[in-house]
Amino acid sequence: MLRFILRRIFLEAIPTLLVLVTVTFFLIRLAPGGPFSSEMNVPPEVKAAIEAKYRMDQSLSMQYLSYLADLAQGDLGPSFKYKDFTVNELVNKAVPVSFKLGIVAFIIALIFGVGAGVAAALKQNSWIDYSVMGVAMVGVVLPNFVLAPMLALVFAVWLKVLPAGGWEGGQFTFMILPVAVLCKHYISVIARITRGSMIEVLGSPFIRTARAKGLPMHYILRRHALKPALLPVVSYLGPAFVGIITGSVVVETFFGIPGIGQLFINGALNRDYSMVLGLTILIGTLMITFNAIVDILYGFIDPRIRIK
Amino acid sequence: MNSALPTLPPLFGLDDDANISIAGRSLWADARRRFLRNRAAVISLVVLAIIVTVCLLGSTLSPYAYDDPDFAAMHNAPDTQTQHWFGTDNLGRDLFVRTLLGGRISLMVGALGALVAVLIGTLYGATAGFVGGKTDSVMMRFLEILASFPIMFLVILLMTLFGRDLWLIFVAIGAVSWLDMARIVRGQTLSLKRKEFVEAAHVAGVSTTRIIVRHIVPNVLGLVAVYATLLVPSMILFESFLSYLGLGVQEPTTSWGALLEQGAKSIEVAIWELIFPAGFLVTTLFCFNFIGDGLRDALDPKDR
Repeated sequence: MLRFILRRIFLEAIPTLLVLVTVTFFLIRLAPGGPFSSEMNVPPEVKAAIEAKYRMDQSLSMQYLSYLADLAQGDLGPSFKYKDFTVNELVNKAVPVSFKLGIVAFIIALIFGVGAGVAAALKQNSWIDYSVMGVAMVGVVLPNFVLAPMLALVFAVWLKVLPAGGWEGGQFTFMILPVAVLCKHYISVIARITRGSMIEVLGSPFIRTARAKGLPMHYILRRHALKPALLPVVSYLGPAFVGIITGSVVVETFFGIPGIGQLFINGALNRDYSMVLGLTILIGTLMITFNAIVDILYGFIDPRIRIK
Repeated sequence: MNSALPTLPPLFGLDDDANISIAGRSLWADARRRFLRNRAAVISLVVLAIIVTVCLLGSTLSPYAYDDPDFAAMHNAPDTQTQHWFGTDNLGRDLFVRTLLGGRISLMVGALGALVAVLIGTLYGATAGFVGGKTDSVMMRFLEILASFPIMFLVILLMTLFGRDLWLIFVAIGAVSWLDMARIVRGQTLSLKRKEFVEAAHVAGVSTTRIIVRHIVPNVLGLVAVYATLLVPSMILFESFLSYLGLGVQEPTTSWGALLEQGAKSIEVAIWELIFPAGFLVTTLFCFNFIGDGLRDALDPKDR
């Protein structure tokens, strides 16, 4: 097991991270037009000072190495756009917001997704099954950026019961709509996966044995069926986490929530290279770490994975 | 049920309308029969065909041009009198024409993106699977590294750096979406390589190229078709996502995503600006999903 974990971290996660940092760094430096092309007419000494601040006066390889060195200490450098801020300061303000939004959506998606999936599997081909699967189909197909304005129209403009946007430190009423939009897709997918694997597990011999012994259904579910049925859900958690981060871009932009998604888009629209670079690396690191954790977790749950 | 007796399934390749002569049914004929029995898939196919046709006809159906602002008619509601079937947008441009133009762009991005992904993915996967050994493991390693990239963010990064070019969108979207395709094709190729009929062909002295062309490719093709159909809607979604964020196509050209962004902004004054593009987009996505499901059921009998 230890070998499996070490291999997963040192042979997979860390090299991938290095490749990611390298690729994004050089992509940005190769881009046409510097980040300061809007400030053409500055005196040469000012230009030199600016370039020194952003290390543009050094050779490309030196820039790369010093960026790596900074990165190792968690320093993402100064923002190209917001001159008085470092990327870290901006990111530090945004991360808790996105984190709160994401974690709530994640938990809700898990609870409701698994619940709906199990219910559909237990009553296969009943109206419960059909309505769960129907709603799940809609949930997968309907894009976030269609659902968000529609919900805002109904609940904020027509009914006037919920705010149409803003964050206000994450008050409950401000979170309802963004969380609903964000978790819709994952509830649907998790419900589908759970239903499929639960039906398979419920049809297997050891469940039949348990029923033949006369065990009550809720006991069979808890003790026997749930764990194997949830294995595919665990392996979906990695992609789901990534998707929630990505989805938060749309949600944060639409509802005006000051999280990393909005920061990223503003950075992209303003050509704030260091911000986009820093956030790409941050998000990439999160994704790679989370996938590694899920893999290792999976290795614990399912011994067949580690023997490879 | 007191209607006619259940018809017996045809035996030994006898079709309903076949004579006594025994005709073999090809994989594709079989698949077509199964597909046509799937009502949702067939209806979706018809609806999709209508949407595509209307989008292609585009501006010929309306007296207005897609980039012709009319400041006397901003945010006008749908009206058959003025022939603004879907109303007008914030600049008084005809929404009907713009929705169809957006559809053309969205469908084109979807189809071309999926094509790029299918080509790269199939070639990559088939090569890795068939060559095997060290090559295979190196190629798969590379794939895994790419797969753990935050791809959406890399594409946005590319858009930031190199400007918003429609072709860049095609290539970027296609180039990052072939990973699953490659993995699926590789898996299929690996298992096919060891099948008895391939071994039999080997023993009978059939050349490797001929084995790939006659035995491997037709067997992978079904899977590729299914996956490609499901890729198109995700490509369309991806493009809409980019356009919605203002990183996709540029004015006055438009796509469903770009129209939705505008519609979301003016939802309080002009709900039709959201409803029509959203309706087209969601209907198209549903159609592709149903067709993909139908194809999977038709081409992959294991799953039934």
